[in-house]
Amino acid sequence: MIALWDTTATEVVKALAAERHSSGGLTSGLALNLVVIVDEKGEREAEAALTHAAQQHPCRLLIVVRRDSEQNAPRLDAEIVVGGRLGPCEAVVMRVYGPLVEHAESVVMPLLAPDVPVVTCWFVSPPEHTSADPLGAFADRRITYSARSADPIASLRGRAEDYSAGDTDISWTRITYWRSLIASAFDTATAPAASVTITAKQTDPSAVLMSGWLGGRLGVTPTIDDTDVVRDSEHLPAIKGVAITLENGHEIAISRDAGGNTLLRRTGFPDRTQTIKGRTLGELLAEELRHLDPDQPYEAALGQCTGHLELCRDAEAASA
Amino acid sequence: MTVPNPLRDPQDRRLPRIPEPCALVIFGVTGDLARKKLIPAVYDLANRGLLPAAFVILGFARRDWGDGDFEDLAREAAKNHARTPWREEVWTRLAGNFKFVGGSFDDNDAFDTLGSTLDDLRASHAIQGNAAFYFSIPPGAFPLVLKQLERTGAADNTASGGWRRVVVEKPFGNDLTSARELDDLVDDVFTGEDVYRIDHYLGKETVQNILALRFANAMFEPVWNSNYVDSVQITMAEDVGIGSRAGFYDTAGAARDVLQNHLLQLLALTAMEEPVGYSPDEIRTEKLKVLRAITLPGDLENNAVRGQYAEGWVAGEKVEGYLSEDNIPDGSTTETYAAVKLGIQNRRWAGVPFYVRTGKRLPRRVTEIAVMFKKAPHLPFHSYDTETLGHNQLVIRVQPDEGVTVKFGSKVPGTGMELRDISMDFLYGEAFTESSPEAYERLIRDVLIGDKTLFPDAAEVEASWAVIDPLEAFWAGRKPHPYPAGNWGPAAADEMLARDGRTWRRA
Repeated sequence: MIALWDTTATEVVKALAAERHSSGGLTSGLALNLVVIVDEKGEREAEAALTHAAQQHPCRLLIVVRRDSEQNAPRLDAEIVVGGRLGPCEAVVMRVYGPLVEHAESVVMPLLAPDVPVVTCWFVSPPEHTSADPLGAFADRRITYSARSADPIASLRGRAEDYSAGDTDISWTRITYWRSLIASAFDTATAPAASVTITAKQTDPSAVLMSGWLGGRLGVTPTIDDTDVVRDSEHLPAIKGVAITLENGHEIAISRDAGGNTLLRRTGFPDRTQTIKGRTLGELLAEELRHLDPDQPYEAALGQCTGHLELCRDAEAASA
Repeated sequence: MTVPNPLRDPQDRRLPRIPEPCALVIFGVTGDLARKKLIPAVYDLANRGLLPAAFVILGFARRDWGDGDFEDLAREAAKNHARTPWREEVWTRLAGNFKFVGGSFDDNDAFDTLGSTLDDLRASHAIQGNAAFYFSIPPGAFPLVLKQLERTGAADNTASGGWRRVVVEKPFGNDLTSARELDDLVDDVFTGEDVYRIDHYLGKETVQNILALRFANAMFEPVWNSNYVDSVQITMAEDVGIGSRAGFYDTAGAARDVLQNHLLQLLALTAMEEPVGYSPDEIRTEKLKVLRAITLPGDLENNAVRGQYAEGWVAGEKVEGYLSEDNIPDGSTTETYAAVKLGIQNRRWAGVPFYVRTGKRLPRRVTEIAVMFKKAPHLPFHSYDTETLGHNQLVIRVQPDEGVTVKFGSKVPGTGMELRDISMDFLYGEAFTESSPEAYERLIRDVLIGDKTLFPDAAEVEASWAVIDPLEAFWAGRKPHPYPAGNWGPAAADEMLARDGRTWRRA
């Protein structure tokens, strides 16, 4: 570990090269650059998440920690960790102060490993325009977390207005288990869906994306039955249940209690139970990093739930 | 009647493809393979969320057991041998879906019970009549079990109202004639497309990557032919001896045990033409073409070597010679090492020797495919500067350290123009640390989904025997060369390459 106080990006680049050299080319097969934007209070959780994600995806990890932007003088403190506490990656933690908070890209760009994909991930409230943001513009993938903004639903609408290929949102990632369960329950469906009810917190972006996905795929507009949901993890979607009635009257219903026990009921089949637990931010991020290409199902679901139907058409055209 | 599921979208790669509700019936469930590979693989699949909600594991063995006893054995097996971390809640979900039917293979009652159990499960566990039968039993018992399944109608797709598939392990016969007999028998009871022959090598990530490497890139295929390739070496070495397989091994030997299946499959993937599409039929068509084009050299005396390990030291331990292993008859002439030079008679490969070798009690466990390129036609450097410059090589490391190495010459830093070989490495574990699934995990899932891409079919097996049979006929009655355990095989194998002006790559 090397710590540099009140330094410049040029010094950081040199120090990273030296540290790589002395550790014997530990991560010569870098698969991607991961740029992460966090604030001071989220730093600890972000580090834990990134350590987990880096274990599955060796990367050059560039963590931008936004400190006191009110300060007058720009300042950069950097820490370089190669194959240390942040897992099998080479990491640079950059703490930026003052006006530099708005120009962090000038520090990040020289540090990007050449010609491997860049993923930018905002663990803070997402910027208004992700692909136009200086830290998002050079990225192949942009990952936001709408649930973390003051008005998550407005933020989700912003994602739709601003959508460009390569965008995804952790609010979408966290419903993968739910979607998988619903899709396999529907494997044995005997008729098309007639109506869908989602029991969930209406202001949860995951619930809204779920309704967009089901609505788009099944061709019926789901109703969200607004209810409070007790969650044992911030990263669990605020969804309690999904019920689908088929045109022949058969029912498929999935409900989850506060402890995570999930019951699947289908007309004509014995009940089944299983467990859905909240995943950590690291597990969610690892799932995101597995796919570096545009996620059309997300695009379509986002378009559907925000009324931006041009996104649904786009997604469909890409799959044709 | 079910309708197509609108929630399934091939683009939605976050949602795993999950098999239909079904049962996995394992014959010989108390054996090593079932305990060390199959049951742990089922747990790993469950842990990764790749099993359907309605899934039953039905064990069959000659034991007086209840369902609970089987579940206990399975729990032990999964806990000890699973690849993924142990999670009690995953097991809780599987538990209760274990059924056991006890009996011997000639016991009609037991198979009637098996049939009726599967019928009952259709309602009680919603498996819809789908079942895969896994033959984890000695090949001698195949006919008996097949006849029983035929008698009870358990192998019949129509009668069961779902799919019925059968999974057979190698050996697929011990020569062309017996392989044909076995194929006829299996195809008689099941239909040809419901038979899955497992060659677990094909389940390995690196083996599947051979096709990606060759056909997804522009830079390798143009030089992948006799214009640029000097020779190809395919090695599968093991440091272990024959273990407890004496009875089977002594009747088979290295060529039947490894060369006929694993090595020829690796050769086929390395040498085949580009398939028209990535579908089981297209890939099989190309593999079959190249397998049929394989020829043995006319002079087998000088181009095929077999060896047998003698006493020696392996990895710091003194080990017995083959003839002193338990249950090996005195004076056995079974080989534990085989090396042979093969040719492929087509435009791409004519004149390029494929040296394949396999052996037990070699210095380390390694499987690799090394493509040796021809030397540059002219070197504008001083001969004294290029003394250590060898052939360019592309090495596919199948195991361990899965990955690809490219070896080429480079200037040694300094004032002179000295050249030396260096290597450029791609290591799976480095670029993708998400650990690769076990071969059996992948293959069991493929059977349940019905994807036959990674399973050799009857014609491939027969084409492979057609290569091995003349070799075995030549070797019959001859004694293998002894080699001390812990060495890279008999000296005769080195001499075989030396006659061609080549050497084995130290794998």
